[in-house]
Amino acid sequence: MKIKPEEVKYIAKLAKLNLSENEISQYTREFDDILEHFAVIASYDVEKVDVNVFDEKQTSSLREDDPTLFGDQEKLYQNTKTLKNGLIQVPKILE
Amino acid sequence: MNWETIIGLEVHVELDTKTKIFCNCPTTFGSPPNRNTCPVCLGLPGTLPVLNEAVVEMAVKAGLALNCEIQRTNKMDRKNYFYPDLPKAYQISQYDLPICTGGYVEIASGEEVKRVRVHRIHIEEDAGKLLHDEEDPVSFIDYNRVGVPLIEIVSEADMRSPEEAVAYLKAVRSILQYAGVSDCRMEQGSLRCDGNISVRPYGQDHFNAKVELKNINSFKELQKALEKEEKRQLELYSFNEGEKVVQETRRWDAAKGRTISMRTKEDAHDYRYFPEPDLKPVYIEEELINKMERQLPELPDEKSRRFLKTYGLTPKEVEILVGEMALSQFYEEVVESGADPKASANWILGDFLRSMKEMELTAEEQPLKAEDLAKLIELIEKGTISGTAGREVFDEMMETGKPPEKIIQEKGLKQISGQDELQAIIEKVIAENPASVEDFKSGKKQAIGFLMGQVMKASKGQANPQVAKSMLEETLID
Amino acid sequence: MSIEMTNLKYQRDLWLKGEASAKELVEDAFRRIDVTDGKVNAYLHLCQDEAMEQAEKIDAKRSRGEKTGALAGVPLAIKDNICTDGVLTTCASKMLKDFVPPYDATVVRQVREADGIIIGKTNMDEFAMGSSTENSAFKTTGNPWDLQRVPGGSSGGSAAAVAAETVSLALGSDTGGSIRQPAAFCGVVGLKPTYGLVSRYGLVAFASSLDQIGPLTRNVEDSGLALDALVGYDALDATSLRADQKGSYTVGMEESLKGLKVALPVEYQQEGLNPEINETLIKTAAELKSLGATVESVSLPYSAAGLSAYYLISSAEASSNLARFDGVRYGHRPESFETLEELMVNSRSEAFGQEVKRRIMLGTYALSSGYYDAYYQRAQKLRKMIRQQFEDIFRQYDIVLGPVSPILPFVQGEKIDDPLAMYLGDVYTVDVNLAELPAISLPCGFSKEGLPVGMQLIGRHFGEQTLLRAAYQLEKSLNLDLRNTIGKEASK
Ligand SMILES: [Mg+2]
Ligand SMILES: [Zn+2]
Repeated sequence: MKIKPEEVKYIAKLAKLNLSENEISQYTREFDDILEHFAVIASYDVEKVDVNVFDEKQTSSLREDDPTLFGDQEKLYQNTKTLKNGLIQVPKILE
Repeated sequence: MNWETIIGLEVHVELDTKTKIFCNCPTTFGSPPNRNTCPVCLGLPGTLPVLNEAVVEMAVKAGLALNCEIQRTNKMDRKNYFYPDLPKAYQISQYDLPICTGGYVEIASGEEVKRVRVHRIHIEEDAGKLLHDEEDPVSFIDYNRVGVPLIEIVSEADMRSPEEAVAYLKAVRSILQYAGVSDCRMEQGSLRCDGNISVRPYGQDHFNAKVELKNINSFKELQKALEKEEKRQLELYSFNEGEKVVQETRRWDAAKGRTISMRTKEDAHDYRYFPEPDLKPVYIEEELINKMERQLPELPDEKSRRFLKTYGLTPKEVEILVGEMALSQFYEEVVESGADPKASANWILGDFLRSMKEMELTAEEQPLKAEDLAKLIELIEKGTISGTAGREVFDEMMETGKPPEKIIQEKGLKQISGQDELQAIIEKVIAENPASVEDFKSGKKQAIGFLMGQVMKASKGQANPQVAKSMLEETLID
Repeated sequence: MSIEMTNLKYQRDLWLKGEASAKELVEDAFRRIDVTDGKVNAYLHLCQDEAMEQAEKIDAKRSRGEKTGALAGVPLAIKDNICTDGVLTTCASKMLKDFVPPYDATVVRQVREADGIIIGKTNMDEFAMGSSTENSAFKTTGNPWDLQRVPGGSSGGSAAAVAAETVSLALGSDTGGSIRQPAAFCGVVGLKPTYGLVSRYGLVAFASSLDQIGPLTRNVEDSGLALDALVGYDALDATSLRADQKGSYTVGMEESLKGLKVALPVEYQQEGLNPEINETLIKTAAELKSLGATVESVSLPYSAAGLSAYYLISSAEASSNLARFDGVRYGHRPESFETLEELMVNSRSEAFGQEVKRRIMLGTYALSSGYYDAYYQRAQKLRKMIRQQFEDIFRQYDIVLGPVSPILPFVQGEKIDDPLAMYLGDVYTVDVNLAELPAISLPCGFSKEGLPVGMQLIGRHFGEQTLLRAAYQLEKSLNLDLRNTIGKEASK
């Protein structure tokens, strides 16, 4: 066993997913298979590979600091279910 | 046992760009709710971030101003956590390749100058604002602030008292204001600060558990929060309950004047940082660094030295003037308008700051024109009005913004220095107060005080006291 | 009226010559959809009114003698993970069941500017996660060559729409083979451009560093024509790059393949490769040789790690990209919730399908503290090596040849309960995405049962022109009859 149900539960919590007991055991089983297959990556020597050395040609193009307003606020929030005076309403957030 | 307090600060500063960090939305403060938003900063499906070049420039500038090394290869990372003020459920930040490393800030510690090291500065995006309903169990989200560019300045744990922490924060604030990268208004949240504090017995090498303090909104609260937390930890250690000092985040409750536990390390977030795949690395050319270096104006340290040398002010005066960029600029404008440097400093540090405080104005809102204040100082110096009248004129200037001459004229505050006019008043006072004149002549010199009072009263306060006094003396002796 | 629905160029030329109006072309497309889509289920939503309106505008432009774009009059379909202003964009997920974007993806703007006419949005695996289009929350798409079989995925709807001859062009997205594999399954041409050649702005992200939009068409020439309309630097996508290419991608297709150096990696003929597909691969290599190309065996030793690296990286990015779907600003609202936590958790738990949850979980795991180095980081290092390995190969060769899928189109439901088996089907396509290379999948033969078999050609970064030339010559030389009964039925 590479992965335990408790770990699957912890991951679900991190991912904000509520899984049934059935789903937990299903994913545990499946991840076990999948991770066993993924074990192949451990067999390569990647010691010398530095992920923080980049191809100098691949640089982000930057944006000019020039403001524009989207404008159509109604359209922008057309998918929002609870809008009140321009604000998005959600259940009380306890800090 | 003697204890030592260890403090480090994380300072978040909103950069003074026109647009947000990854989209073209304006960063204007105080817009209607959610007005400054677009598909990108709202994190709508399919949208992508594009980095604002002004953010890179200002971060470099901030780094140079804080004596940092500028990292030539930059990469953005995602910090993943769910919170409704974060529309993408991750914050684009920098993890292992921050834009600036290894700087320092000099602060006064007692008589000495102390260096507080800056560990790193990184670029990141701000989150939205949550508002809570007073009555109903609901909250509201305003995303106007989402994506406003921030730099996070992380100090080393070099501060040894709340005073030093405040001095460091003040120094950082004024340096960044001078560098022109932020207005650093704590009251508007454009400068925010978290404090890390722990205590340990002198001589102990390792650090004890540190506590992170959040929600500190002013210098005064930083001082208070650190003092309170320092006291709380010391008490626990001294009552042998040191195990109760745990690594945790505590919120400063300004109203209650205490810190409250938010979360302990056990349920800390697992942020799952990884390189932002929507952005390629950003390389900072030497050319840009040089350009920013050239653009850096005179910074506070340099300005302090110059003020001390040029204007003959005391170190304390210079500290206050230079500490606030707007104040130092105002001061120099007043002096450049022709006013005496020392008198200008007296007015600005005295009446001006006092009435700014009373009127609850920020430096930007102050109504005075430098040339008007210079004029007022000159009028008092020349004796056109008295010092007392000057105060009255000044108050009116603060109220209305009117030029001093106009106020003097309207209120009739001009001093009477004319010989003929004064002589007439003096003659009248002498005639009406023979007893006091007799007293003076028989050697009771203090009687002149009473007579001067009568002269001032008769002139409705407008007599120039110096001129009037010498004329009165001359008349009495004759 | 019936128009012989052969290809994009044909339709465009009909319109240019004035032999058909855009309105007629669009009407014909909807007629074809009427005839076939009840069986194929390639479309999730149609935009008949908008399309007709658009067609009339374009026809009016022509009658006024105005300049028109490269796709003028051509009806086309868009995969439902590409945002269309005012038109549902669901990603085939319950999460976005009623989501209407307030903006157009850059490619959508481009096809509109080219006067192409969007007639509908196509079915897909939910959030592009899958290889069979069975992970759609709304419908199952049939393969027009055999309706019992899957069209491949995740751009299965787009491939099926083209194969059923309802449109000559459909846009898809390819994260690990999602254009090429359904193209191979449905007997059409699918092009995955070099990463950065086509803007991703408006493509609902699955794995940002791998996703790329590309065309599905009935032939190679159309693929080049479509690409012409899609390329271009986009200031809204920081990963978008300026290609050196000048002029049309169809230029030079007629040039011979004499001297073209083709590499055939030994790793691309692994155990598990269907013998009929292997046979087609061998025949394809022979065909290329007959065209004057040289074909040599090479080795890509790191590619054995490609599939694992791909699944780790893509799932990690997906776990983060899909975190924004929490029901707060848009997306599925659960029926009951009291707290904010419940709103978020219930929204995600109710609205995401099994496969999406699986990938989110897998990706969250790969990034979580304690596993990052062993999984995500290591996968990134291997990705670098795979990229390096391809660069080495491309110093000596012009094209890499390989199969698209190790298996033939399978029967619906056959693999749905075995995620690992499903993942293994991507073994030949994922390296291309990891290395950010362009690749084209084109039909190269049929199985004994008459199912299409596709092969892929992989090119250098921004080597689309060479890629298209090789594919075009191969297509011409193979001269396969690529019409299926469904498509013929619609053309009656
Ligand atoms: Mg931060
Ligand atoms: Zn915005």
